[in-house]
Amino acid sequence: MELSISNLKKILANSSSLGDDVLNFNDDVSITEQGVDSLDMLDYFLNLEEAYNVKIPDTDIEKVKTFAALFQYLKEKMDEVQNS
Amino acid sequence: MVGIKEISSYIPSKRVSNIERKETFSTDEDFILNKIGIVNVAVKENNENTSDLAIKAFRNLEKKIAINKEEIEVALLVTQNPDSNIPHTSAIIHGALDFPESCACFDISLGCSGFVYGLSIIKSFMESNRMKKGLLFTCDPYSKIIDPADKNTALLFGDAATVTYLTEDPAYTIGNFTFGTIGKESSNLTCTNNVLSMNGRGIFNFAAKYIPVDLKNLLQKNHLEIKDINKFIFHQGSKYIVDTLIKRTSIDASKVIFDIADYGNTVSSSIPIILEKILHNTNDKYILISGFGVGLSWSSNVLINHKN
Repeated sequence: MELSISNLKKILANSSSLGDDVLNFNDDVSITEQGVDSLDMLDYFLNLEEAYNVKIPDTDIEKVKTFAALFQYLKEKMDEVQNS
Repeated sequence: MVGIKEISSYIPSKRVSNIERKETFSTDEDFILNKIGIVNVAVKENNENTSDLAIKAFRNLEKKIAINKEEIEVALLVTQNPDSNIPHTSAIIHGALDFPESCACFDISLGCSGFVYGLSIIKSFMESNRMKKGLLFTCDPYSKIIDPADKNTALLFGDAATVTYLTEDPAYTIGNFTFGTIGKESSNLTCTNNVLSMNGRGIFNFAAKYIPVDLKNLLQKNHLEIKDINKFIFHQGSKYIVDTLIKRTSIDASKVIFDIADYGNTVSSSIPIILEKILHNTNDKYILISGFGVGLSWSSNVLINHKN
């Protein structure tokens, strides 16, 4: 799946109990502060790892609280893989 | 062929309410009911030890079925929280229940996968030694090692014990097993200085990634298709983990049992407690059981109704 903020939201909408409400979330506000609970976030991170074939270590979780931060983080990770 | 004749359990009557602790752990009722799925955790009394719980499970078994203790040839206990390191707790149970001197006893150190591993061990042990009657105990009272202030574990784990009676005249025979271990991930669930520590994300990822693949391997090994299975009993870690396994497989959700709201995740006892409730339901031909956790390890099996 192409990396875009819109697709990042779709992946969460497909797995979270909040469904399509996620599509209207603010890109720059913490995803959990917008109502996604800690267990849905675990599932989300696993779905992202599988969708984009990247590893998001526990130590990086704090860096990816918003969709904007997540997009940037995944972009850098995928660029690293492409350039290696 | 050795199989499961009867199962009995003992769940202590004392409960700690998760709802009453919701403010302490900054959570809410909806999360407790619909995500964790555990309203209360069962907690043993301070003066009850691991062997005491196991013995009470056996007393409950005696109320269900006539057992001649002189005929018990092996008694195994799955635990990682024994009475003490020495002697093995199965020997203490042996002494308290006055099993015969010819009865073999040993403990098995495994967590949430332990019941399924234990079934394989006792079946092989009995068949290779031509034994006719054996007992598989599970008892891992995590209240001994839980930090009551740790949200990751305190809301999940409950105390219980079970005993499974295996004979050559079983209600269910035991199919082919699958096993696995991801030792590199073992640090996700540890006990150091007598305190349990769990990385919830590590355990979640492990179960979500490995168990659906294992189920496919298990069905293939037993020459069955997913639609053939009447009931699925996954280790009852939390509602969320069981729901995740349903989502990641093509299992009919109505066939999957989750029933720990009143007592919690009882580690290696979680599967036999559920199994006890449906063991004599003649409508079920195949029951799939899958245990996973500490290690990180897993084991799965298909039980076959011998009378169907």
